[in-house]
Amino acid sequence: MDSVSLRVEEGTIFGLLGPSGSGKSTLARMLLGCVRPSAGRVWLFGLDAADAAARRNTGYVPEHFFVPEPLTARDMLLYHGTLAGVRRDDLKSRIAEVCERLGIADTLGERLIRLPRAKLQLLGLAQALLPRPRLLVLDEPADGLDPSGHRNVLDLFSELAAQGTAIVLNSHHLADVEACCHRVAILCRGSVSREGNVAELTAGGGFQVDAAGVPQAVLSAVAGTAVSCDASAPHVRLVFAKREDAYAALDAIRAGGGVLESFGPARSTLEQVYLDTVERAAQA
Amino acid sequence: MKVTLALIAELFRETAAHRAFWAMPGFSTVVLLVLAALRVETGVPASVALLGFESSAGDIATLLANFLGLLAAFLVSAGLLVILGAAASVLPALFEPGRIEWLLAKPVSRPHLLLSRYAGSLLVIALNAAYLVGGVWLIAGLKTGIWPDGLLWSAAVSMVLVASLLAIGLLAAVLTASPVWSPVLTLAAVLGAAIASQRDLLNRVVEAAPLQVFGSSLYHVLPKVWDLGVQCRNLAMGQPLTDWSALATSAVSGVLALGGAVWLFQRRSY
Repeated sequence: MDSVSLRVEEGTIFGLLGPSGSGKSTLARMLLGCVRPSAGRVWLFGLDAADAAARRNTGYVPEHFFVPEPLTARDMLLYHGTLAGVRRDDLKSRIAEVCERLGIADTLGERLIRLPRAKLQLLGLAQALLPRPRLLVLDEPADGLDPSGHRNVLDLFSELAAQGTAIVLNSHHLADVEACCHRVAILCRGSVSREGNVAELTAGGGFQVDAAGVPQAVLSAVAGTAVSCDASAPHVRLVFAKREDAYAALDAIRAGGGVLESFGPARSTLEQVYLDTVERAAQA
Repeated sequence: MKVTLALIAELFRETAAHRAFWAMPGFSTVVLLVLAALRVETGVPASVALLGFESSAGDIATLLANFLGLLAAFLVSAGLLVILGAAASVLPALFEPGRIEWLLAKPVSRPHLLLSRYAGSLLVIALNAAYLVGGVWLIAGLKTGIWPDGLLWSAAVSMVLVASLLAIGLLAAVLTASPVWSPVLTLAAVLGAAIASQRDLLNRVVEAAPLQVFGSSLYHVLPKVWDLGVQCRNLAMGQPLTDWSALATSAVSGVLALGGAVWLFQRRSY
């Protein structure tokens, strides 16, 4: 890592993006005191991350975690809950509550070796939630989940954030990050290449027109004033730098018999922003 | 305290899941059953018999002392093997990717994690030794009327040796985090200690002064495997402990190795 300075506020879902080897997992582990920084400090709730007390309010789901095969799911959660400092008289009810929310209450008596990957992934998440963390660090938490489990987990993140939990989400699933993260940092070669609100990052300059059935002659005429023109049939997407050019194009499309589908400020997808950032960092 | 107990209980579960773990209590049970089945004649000459086979000696105390001496030698040897096993399995297992990050992310300090692992491993070995030694002590006392307290002292001394070697195993595990290199380093330390203890012989065979100094340094730095092994046997046979220095310096070696392991673990990134 090099000159990384990030701040994650309460109630924020913070996405960490970057190519493999960019330092996402290292940064996540640094937050939790697993990786010792060679210079600089990591602070958690005002305490040095190396201090065990700083991790009292955190939950962590590593990308690949060790499954102690002889244990049942309940034993595993009891073990992790105890290590996380959950009070003994609260632990059993907390396990039931968390597992109910994640839809894995029926697996508590099962041995871990018999559980499919998706259930293990949810158990990993369950153990992180046991201490009611104020900070949740998640490394690819939705890997291996089916679509409904996936949706359930994303909804849970939004609920937790609404309750004030800060979530650091390290994921390759850009759609997940775009759907649920408030802020995003894109890491390249160990440093932050871009950081900001998802809305800010995906906001492009200019105005975007989406239309269908645009005659070729009309398209040729309006494309001249456009910044970009994506004419992959049957839809056309035109982006204009100036509002007047966009209005003129709208008029021309309607007059030519084309069907206007949408009009508004031009936006990029997070995927486009990510790819541009990574490409620029690679060229730098 | 509940965190320490949880870590130790987890280590017990993990150890018990290995089939090899049951070899030692299984063997001890067989030994105890055989001893319980022995017919002992305590007169002069004394004799013991099992399934028609009989052995006799001048008196029962000599017969018992010889047996206990053998048992002590076995205990020390078995202890060394168990330590190598631990250095190959439970100690480096702590550093497995996916496990270590999970543990380090908990609000538990690194020394606490490491020392719990060490204490749990030591407890597993101590309970095994207590089962065999306690059983032998009880059966010997009941059958012969001689309560061999020296065996208990011998077991205590052998546990000091085991604890110090286990600390070296832990240091090797922290250094290498490898189930292959950790036992290799530990074995090297055990063999080095055993060879270095033969200082007189070494000095006769090796003429180069630097090598002699190296051998002597090894002897002083590493636990005194050979010396303590001999003392364990003597204690079990009812002789007193004549030299405390080997015991004390071995304990110091263990404490230093343990301190080194904690120091290193505190600074490592995982």
